[in-house]
Amino acid sequence: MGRVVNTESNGKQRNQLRRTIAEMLRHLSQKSTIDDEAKDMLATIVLCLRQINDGIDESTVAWEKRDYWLKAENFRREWQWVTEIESKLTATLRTEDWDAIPDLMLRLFPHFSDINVTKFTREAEIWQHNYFKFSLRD
Amino acid sequence: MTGLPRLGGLPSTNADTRFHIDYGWWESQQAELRNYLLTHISDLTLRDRLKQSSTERVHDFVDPETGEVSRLNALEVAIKQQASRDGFINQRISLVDNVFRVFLANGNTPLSPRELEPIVGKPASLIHKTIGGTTIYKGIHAVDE
Repeated sequence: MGRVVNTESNGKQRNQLRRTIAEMLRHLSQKSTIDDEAKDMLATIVLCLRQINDGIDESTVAWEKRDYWLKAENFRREWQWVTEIESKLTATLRTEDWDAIPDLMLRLFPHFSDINVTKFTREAEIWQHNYFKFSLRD
Repeated sequence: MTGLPRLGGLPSTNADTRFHIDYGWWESQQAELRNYLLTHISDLTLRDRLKQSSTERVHDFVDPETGEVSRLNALEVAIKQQASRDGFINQRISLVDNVFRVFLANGNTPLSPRELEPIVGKPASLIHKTIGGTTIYKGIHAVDE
């Protein structure tokens, strides 16, 4: 028997990842330069977007198997921006093109405008050393 | 090829029916076609630049494989270049978009769901269900044969 994909838990995980990104964006918007911490935060955004993408893959495959192909189609289209921004951000981090970061943040903000960050809930250990991990993998 | 008519008078299709992009379907919605084509440009900066570019200005485009020269606008050139790159067809976009990209990349040569299966990596039955139903998505339509 194949693995059962719980699309609801994917949704829950997606919300947690979106919350993390929203907090990273809030921190980043308060920075005037791209320091080491900012790089860690940007790498965290990339890693979160990749996890969101993995969850979307799992959900859409599960829906296709259950013949909910239209739902899978619409869902895939709704989240297409994740791949697009993740690719761009990955390329930006790889080439250290820090001038491109404000534009990318502007592209990200509208997708997180529904998350109201009045209090930070993510500790520094969430983002620390992520730029190093990103550099090793990419 | 004959078949039982379906609702709306469309011919019945199957996994061996060939499909393509019917640009006639887009005729009355050129702006939408342009916006949709822009979504196939994965480089977001280039996409923004193309949004601003004129549709009138044409460039000579030399097909790297055939050497054939055609006169294309900036968006068409960008699409051609994107289509020749790895990853243009991938699992992270919708099936309809992937099928559309196949036809962009192959010069709109008609293909059946069975022929599309190995290219888009989805079962022919799913491809057929998606593009062979009563609703036409993005102008992807059975070829009149």
